[in-house]
Amino acid sequence: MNITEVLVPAQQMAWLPWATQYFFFIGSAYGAAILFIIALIFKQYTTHQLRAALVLTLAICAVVGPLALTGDLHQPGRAWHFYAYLTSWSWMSMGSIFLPIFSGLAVLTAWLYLRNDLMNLQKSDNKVFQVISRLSLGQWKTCHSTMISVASATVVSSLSIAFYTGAEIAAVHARPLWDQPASPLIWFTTAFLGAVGLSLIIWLLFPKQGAANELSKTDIRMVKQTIILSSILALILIPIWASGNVVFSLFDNSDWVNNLVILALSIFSCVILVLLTMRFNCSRLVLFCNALVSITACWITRWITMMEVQTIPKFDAGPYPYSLPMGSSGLLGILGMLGLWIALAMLASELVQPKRNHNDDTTFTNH
Amino acid sequence: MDSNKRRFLSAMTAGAALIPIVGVNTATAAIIVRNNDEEDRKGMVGKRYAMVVDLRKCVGCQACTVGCSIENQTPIGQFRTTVKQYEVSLIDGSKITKEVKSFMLPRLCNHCENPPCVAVCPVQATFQREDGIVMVDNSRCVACAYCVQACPYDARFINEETLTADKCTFCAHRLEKGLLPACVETCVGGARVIGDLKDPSSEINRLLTENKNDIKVLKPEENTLPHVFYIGMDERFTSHIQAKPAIYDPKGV
Repeated sequence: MNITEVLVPAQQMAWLPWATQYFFFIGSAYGAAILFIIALIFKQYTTHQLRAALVLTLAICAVVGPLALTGDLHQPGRAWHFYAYLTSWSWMSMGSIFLPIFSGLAVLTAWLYLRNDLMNLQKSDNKVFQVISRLSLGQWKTCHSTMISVASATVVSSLSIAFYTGAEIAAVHARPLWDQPASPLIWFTTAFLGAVGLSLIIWLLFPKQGAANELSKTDIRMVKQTIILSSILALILIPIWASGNVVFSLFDNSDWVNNLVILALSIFSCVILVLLTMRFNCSRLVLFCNALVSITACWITRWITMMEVQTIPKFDAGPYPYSLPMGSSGLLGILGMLGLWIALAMLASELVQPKRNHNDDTTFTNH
Repeated sequence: MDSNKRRFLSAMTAGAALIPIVGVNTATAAIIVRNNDEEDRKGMVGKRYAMVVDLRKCVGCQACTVGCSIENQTPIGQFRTTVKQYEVSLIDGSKITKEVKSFMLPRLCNHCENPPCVAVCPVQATFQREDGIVMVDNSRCVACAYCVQACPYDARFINEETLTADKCTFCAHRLEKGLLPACVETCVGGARVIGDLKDPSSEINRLLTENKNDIKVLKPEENTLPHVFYIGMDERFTSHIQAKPAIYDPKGV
C-alpha cells in the first residue's frame, strides 16, 4: 500500500532557538563548575588564571542561561507563576527551584574566588577599578576550606541542573529520540566542550603580561583531556542516540544523515584539532581555534538534538519544515544571548589583572 | 480525583527532601495527574465526554475545520481540529492504471484518560475536568510549550495571538449550554458524534457497542487511553503513518 499525505498542516516549532541557547549556556555552566573544583583541588599544578576563567564561565553562563530560558517562554512576564504554583511532579517546575539556587551559588563561588583580585584592584590608578574593588566587601581573606565547601555545594547544585535538564526532556515520551538515556548523556558529555571552549575565550580575554600568564602543563593537560574524553564519549553516544527512534530510521532519511554527519564531524574535529595542534604548541591562535571548534560542537549538538528533532512529526510522515526566522524568536535571539555573554566576559575578564598572579596560591588562608 | 493531595501525601511520607524521587515517579506517569482540585475545574461531574468519528461517513469537506475556527477564533493557519487527507494506492503488481483512493482522518485532542500534557505542566495550567475534558487555563499558562511536546498527537499548539497553549476543548462552553461542539454541528456527513460514556442510553454508547469490533484509537501503544474513537479506521493509520511526505502549507514562507 502506498500512502501519500495530501493535506497536513505543518506543526510549528514549540521550543524556540532560545531553548538551545539555554541548554548551551547552562550546560557550559555546570561543566565549568565541575572542572573548576578539579582545578581548585589540584591548585598547586593549575594556574590561577585558568581557575579564574573557569569560575567566570560558571558565573556568567549561570546568569545568561536563565535569561535565555525566560526568552523561551512565550509569556516571560509570567515566570513568577512557577513559584506561585509549584508542581512537584513536573521536572520543569523542579528546575525552577534548582536553577536560581545554582545561579546564586555560581555567582557566590566566583565572588569568593575572585575576591583577592577584586581587592588588588584597589591599588589600580583607575578610579572605576577602585570602585569595583569595593565589591570584595572587606579585606578579609577567603579561607581555602570555605572556598572548597562553597565550590562543592556548587558542584552538587550543578549536578541537580544536569540531572533535571536531562530528565525534563527525556520525560517527553512522545518523542522517542528524547525519551532514551542516551539523550541526557550526550548533553552531559558535550557540556564540557562548551565549558572548556568558553573558559579558553575568557582566558584569552584576560589582560596579559609576560610569561607568567601562560597555561601550566597541568592546565593544558586538563583542557586537552577534557576535550578528548568528552568528544570520544559523545561520538560513541551519537549512533546509539540516533538508533533510538522507533518510528523511522534516521539513517534512511537524507536530511537526517546530513544532520548526523554534521554532528559527528563537529565533535570529531574537536579531537583532531586538539591532537594536531595542542600537542606541539599552545599559542593564543591555537587556543582560540580549539575554543571555537569546541563551542561550535557543543552548540550544534544541542541544535540538532533539540531543534531538528522537533521537525520530526509524532504521527504523520513529515518532516515539518523549519526555517530560522531573523527576528528575536530566531537569529536575533541567538546572537543577542551570545552578545550578552561576550559583553559580560569582556567586562569580567578585566577583574583578573596580570601582575597579581604570582602569589595566587596564597590567596587563601589555610585553616 | 484528588491527585494533588495524594501526591502531597506521598511526597511527605517519602520525605519531602527526596524531591527528585517524587519526580521520577512522575516521569514514569505511574499516577494519573488531573490538577482539578479547584471548584471551577470540576466541569460536569458525573459525565465522561468522548467522541466517535465514523470514518465511513467523513468526506473530507473540512466543514468541521472551518466551523471550529469560526467558533473558537483560532489564528489563521492554526487549528484545534482539522481533517488530514491521504492518497492511498494498492501495490498489487498489476500494470493497469492504479486505483487511487482517499483516506480522511479528522484529528483533534483525544481528551485522554491518562493525559501526558497535564502531567508535565509546570504551573498546573492544564487540567482535566471530572467529565474528562482536558482544558488550559490560559490566564495561568506560561507558554513553556512543554505540553505541546508531551502530546503524542500534535494536538496542541502555542496560539499566536494569546501566546498560550491552545487545543480542542470539545467546545466545553457549548456543551455546558446544551449545544453540540461546532465540529459536530457542522459535520455534513454526521461522522462526528459526541456523548456521555456514563449514560448507558447515549448515542455514543450505542455506536461503540454496535461497532465494538471496528473501534480504534490513535497510538494505543502510548497508554494515553484516548477518548476519540474511530469507526472504519485502517490500522496503518493508527500510529506513525508510513507515508510519503506531505504537500504542506508552510507558514510564513
